[in-house]
Amino acid sequence: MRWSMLRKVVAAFVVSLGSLLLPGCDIKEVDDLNVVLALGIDQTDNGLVRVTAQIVNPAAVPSAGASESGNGATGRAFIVRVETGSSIEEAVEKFNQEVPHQMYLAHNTLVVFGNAYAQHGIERAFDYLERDRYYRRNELLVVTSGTAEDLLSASTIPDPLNAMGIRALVQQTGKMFRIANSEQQEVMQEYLSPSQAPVVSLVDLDPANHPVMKGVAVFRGAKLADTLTLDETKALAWLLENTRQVEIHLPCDGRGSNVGTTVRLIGSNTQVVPQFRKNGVSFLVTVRAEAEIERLCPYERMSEKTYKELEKKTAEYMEREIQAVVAKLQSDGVDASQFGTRLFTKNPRYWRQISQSWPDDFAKAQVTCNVRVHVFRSSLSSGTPESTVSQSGLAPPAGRGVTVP
Amino acid sequence: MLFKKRGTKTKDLGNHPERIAGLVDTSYGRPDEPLPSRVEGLRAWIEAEWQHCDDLLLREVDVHGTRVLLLWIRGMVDQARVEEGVLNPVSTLPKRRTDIGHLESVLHTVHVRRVKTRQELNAAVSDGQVVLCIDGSKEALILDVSQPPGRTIEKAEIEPTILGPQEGFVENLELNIALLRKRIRSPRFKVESMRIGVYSKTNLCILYIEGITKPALVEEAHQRLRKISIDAVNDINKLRELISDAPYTLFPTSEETERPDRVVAGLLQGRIGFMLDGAPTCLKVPTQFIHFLTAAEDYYMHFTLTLFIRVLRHVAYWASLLLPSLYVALLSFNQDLMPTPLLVTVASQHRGIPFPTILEALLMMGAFEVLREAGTRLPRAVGQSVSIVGTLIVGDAAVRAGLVSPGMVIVVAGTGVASFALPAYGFVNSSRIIQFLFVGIAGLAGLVGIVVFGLIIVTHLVSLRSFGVPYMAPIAPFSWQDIKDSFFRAPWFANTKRPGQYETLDSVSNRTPAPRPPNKSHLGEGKR
Repeated sequence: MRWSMLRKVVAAFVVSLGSLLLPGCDIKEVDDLNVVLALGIDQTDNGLVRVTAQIVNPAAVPSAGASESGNGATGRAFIVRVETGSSIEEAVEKFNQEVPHQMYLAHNTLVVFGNAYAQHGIERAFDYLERDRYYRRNELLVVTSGTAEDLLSASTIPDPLNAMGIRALVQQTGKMFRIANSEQQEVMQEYLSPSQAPVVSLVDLDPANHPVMKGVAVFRGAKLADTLTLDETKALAWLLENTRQVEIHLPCDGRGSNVGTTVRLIGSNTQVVPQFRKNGVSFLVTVRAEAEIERLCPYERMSEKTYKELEKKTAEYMEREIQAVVAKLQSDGVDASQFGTRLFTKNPRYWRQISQSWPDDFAKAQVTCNVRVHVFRSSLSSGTPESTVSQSGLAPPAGRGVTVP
Repeated sequence: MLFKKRGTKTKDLGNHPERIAGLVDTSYGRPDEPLPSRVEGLRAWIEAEWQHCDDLLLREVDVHGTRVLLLWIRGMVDQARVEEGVLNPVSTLPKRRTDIGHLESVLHTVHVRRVKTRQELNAAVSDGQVVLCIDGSKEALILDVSQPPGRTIEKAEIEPTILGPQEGFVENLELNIALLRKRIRSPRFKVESMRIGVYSKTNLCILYIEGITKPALVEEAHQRLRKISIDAVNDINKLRELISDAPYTLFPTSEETERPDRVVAGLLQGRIGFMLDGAPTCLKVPTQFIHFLTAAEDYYMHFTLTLFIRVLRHVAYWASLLLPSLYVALLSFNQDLMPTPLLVTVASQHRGIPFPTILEALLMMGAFEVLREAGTRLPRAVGQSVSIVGTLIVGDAAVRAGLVSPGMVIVVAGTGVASFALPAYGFVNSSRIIQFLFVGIAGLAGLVGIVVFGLIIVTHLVSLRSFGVPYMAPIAPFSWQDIKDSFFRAPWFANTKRPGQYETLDSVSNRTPAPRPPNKSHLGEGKR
């Protein structure tokens, strides 16, 4: 009796096992997948979307053990395939007809928008990127002034995988200020915020066909409006958020004019306060920064005066840059400085009254800067070598310019 | 119905009940009979009872006209002591007429006791004692000169430690009990002896400490042992299976150890031990899951080190269960959960492997198990070369031939090493099987399957009991006091209570105050 029971249990187990095995489930072996690392989105002349997919080429991925087996280096570590369709998802779907193995998008880490597509508006991609279950919200969005296909085909030595290389490139700048690190969730947040001005990092190819971090592209709504250089991006970052490890190059007077001096902002802190006046809104931008000296003007001696002067010069420079970028944004009509959002968080009711006329108001908005820099250390040496050199063999002046007898 | 009902078995004429009745142990179940008083009658009965037992030695001595019958089993007795302590005194008796009382007082160099019945006589002979029967007496003398063959006490080989005592149990029960008595020199340490096995009549001891162990636990042990009626119980595992709480589970609900120090520690916690004659291990009950992840060494090193080692061991246990299945699930189902660089590396490693990951895993794990089995079964000298050939040469060749990916070799080898890091051998064997189940589930349903099966395992673990004590005791019915000796070991001065789950009579095991050195300078008051 018990024996037959056991047989029934075994039979049920075998049947259930078979029923699980036969349809194949959703098993997808790792070697049957095309790991897509980057998607490039371009616009063709006739208005279609050209999607470039960067697929890992497992045969050529350099690994620590591959040099031994000798079958490595049979080409590049990635393959670039292109499809055209009326929409991104249609083009992506077409890959499955032309590329063996299934396209696997869960590891997509980079989406590059070509210039033409960006100018026509990237919001066409947003819904697909947000809705599809494979994409992660942390993929990096990048704009290029050429075509995405060219950028994704370029070599990013020493990183064998182009997408990883570009991502690393952008993240290195993103360490200084987050605004350069335009991940999808942040871009979407900026797109949905009252200012409606997403900022996407701009990566271009240099003449040697290597990707270069060029700055950021600012969008009006979802349409590309203008691009900012890296220096302008720094100024934009000072308007928006805290930064760290930003370097500032300043000219020198006198003998060292061809070299200049360099200050590294260890950290900066930004506060923007909207001020409501009768004739409109003005913004008070308060930046507090701490800095160390990276390089001093030649023949300069270290003294309290040097510190004070450097602090003043740095603050003036920053203020100038901030005003310049505000002027540029105002002329472009893009509120990438998120003034509208600041206004909204400060006074939502007032914002709703003026939100319709905000583009005009923003162009006329007054910005007052209050920048204060504290240079608090001189790194490893005090005076410059030029100032301490002594032909008569005297001891160098110690510390802050006091000569040792 | 899937299967046809089986027809009744054809009648097996060889198993005819009457035929069997003629063969079963006749002394068992038959009322015990007294010994005959005449040596002739006794000798006739013994020769009939011990027919075809050529290792039985019968010796008849004439002591001044009185017939004395001596019998023992060759090889089970100490031959020198038989000569000196029995044969010499008997043959040089000065008195003309002798009786059993006189003999008993003369034979004082060996331990002597009297028996009255035939079964007692049989048992004594089987135990390797010399039986002395004298004409005219209805009693026989049992002279304890037994020295059953066996090895001497050696180092513990299954549970070796670097620090601490090194002795391990041997096959001799008396010696084993002496090893324990040496460590608990108290009359409260009880050794209750009984015989189990219809033919084997193996000596079994129940060990506990009176005043600590819950009396109901001892009673429960007695009840379970009383039910045993089997031909022979020669091994502790047989006993374990016969008295187990959950006979079908993969997880052992009783702990086997060959170290006297571990047994003593268990007894002092309020647990009981079973020792069998001929088995070099002791069975400890009740046993909890956590005991299998503690080693004797944990108690012989500083408690801070124990914390590190125990955490490592817990990680190793779960790794030995889950590592291959997680690898399979990640490679065949959940590639999105890997970091991208890892996926790229794994994909490039797995390129060109002709098997799906699940098959590759089962292949490698099967090969590993076969090698492990070969390594244990073969003679020691050959076993080493097998493991070298298996692990180094075959593994490397399989990778070079492109049959398995290097990642899989690493995972399977890592699983093996993790399982070697666990101290309890029987427990590891169960994890070897569960590991296969996990891999199978991972190949069918990926991570979801692993999670579901893991939940089933956890539920099962929580439902188990060992002699009435929850299997996951200090964790599942949580008790902070008992957790002090689980994932870590609290220092001895902080560990003052016996485990609460054993409901001991005396719950305090340690009344030592925590060491508080005086905060005084040796130079004198106020000087530093």
